[in-house]
Amino acid sequence: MAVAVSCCGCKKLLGGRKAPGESVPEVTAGGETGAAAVAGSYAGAGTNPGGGTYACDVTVAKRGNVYRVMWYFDGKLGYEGTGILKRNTFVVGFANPQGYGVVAYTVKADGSLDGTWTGAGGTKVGTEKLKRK
Amino acid sequence: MRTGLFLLLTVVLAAAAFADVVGEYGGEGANPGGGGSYTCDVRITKSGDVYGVQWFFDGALGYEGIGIMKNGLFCVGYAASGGYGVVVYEVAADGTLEGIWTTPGFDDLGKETLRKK
Repeated sequence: MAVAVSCCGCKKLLGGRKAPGESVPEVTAGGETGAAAVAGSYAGAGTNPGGGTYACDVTVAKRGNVYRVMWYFDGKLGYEGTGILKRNTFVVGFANPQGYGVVAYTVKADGSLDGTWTGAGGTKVGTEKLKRK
Repeated sequence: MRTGLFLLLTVVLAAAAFADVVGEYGGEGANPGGGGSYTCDVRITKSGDVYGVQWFFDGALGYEGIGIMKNGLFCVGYAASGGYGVVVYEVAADGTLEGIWTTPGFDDLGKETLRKK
């Protein structure tokens, strides 16, 4: 999430994971309607809690009743997360070997995601807007 | 004097509204995929615009998390040496937190209910 992504250590956490491009079945969980449509590829723009901006690419894939989320910075995987959709709010816990955090997005009618996030150790929130590619 | 008291009350009420989830809780939960149940004690604190969350199991700190309020939901990312995850709580009128959670490796949701002590 944060712009200060040091990806050197990511492979420790990410080793053995499948590539993000793998095929993902679109399963609609009980009680969900079109909200399963949060799965997809997004271009993101955000602000860090402490200031500064960043750009990222994000993939969201559905796995059963949860979602797997990956953030790429300049084409490199920076963070991965696991997410839950609760009504119109998509909440993701994310981590890499340097830390972890949480982001909560409002799912907008046009399919974009309007998020607020923070990382462990912080006292402020950043923002992240994801638009479908 | 009356104005001062009103301002003080306003500040206190505003602080209460924003810090509503802060406190000590007794929790019970169920693991994803029918993986059994558990009990825990949870402490929620506030620091600036975010919340700190600690889960204790048999008195020992098991997980730490960081949370934000969004759309009336209390949203927490947590981690321990072994991994990380996410939990989303509904805040009930009586202050009880009704949560669903998951962690990588599971395709399903667990549950967790926290009651204020």
